[in-house]
Amino acid sequence: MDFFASWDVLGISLVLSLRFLGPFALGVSLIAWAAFRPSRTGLRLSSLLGIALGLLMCIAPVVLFLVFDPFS
Amino acid sequence: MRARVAGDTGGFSLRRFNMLVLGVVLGTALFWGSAYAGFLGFTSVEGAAFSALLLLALVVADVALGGFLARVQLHGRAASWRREEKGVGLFIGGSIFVGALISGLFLGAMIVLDTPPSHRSFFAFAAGPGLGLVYGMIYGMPALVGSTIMELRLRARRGDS
Repeated sequence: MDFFASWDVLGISLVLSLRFLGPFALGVSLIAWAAFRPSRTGLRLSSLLGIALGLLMCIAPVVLFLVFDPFS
Repeated sequence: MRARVAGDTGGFSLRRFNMLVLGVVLGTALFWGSAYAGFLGFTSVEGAAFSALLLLALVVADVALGGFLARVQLHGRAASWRREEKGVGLFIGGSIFVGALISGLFLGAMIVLDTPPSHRSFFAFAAGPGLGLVYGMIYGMPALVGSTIMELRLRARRGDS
């Protein structure tokens, strides 16, 4: 199948990518902000909480995808 | 003095325009890259896992490139320019948003042209622009975060407010 000739399939693949991409974008942004924002006090509890929440956001869609496996 | 003002203005707008073009190209590349990654997810469980990894790599690259673009724009700026360059993160995130939105509009046009007139529904018209908006927000946010972090770090290093 020609990749760039099936535009509706491309649209569907973009919609399906959102289930991973949305949580990844939020999670990675949270991790980056919590870990790398300029702070005089270094890593505090709030930063660690932000990193943990970001990791959870990144892992959650993968776990949910494996639990509700659409290929089985 | 007159030459300096003219040079400042021209240089600033040119760099800003280059950054806009770079951001739009980056947003377009990320949009089509995630279309390809989603396409891989159709094949099997392994394909879906690879697709998820690819999407994670795209988001991480988005944050890093946002920071890199902010660094390029702010690096070596004179003191008189720094005041004008607040909100660099917003500008870079916005340009990536525009790139993804343009790609979505193009995709929407191709979907509509590819659909026979009798089958053109609301979804055929709304899919492309909707996807462009959503992807613009999704890819704009990490780039905004990366470039804002870089902007704040550079300002903290220079001792600006």
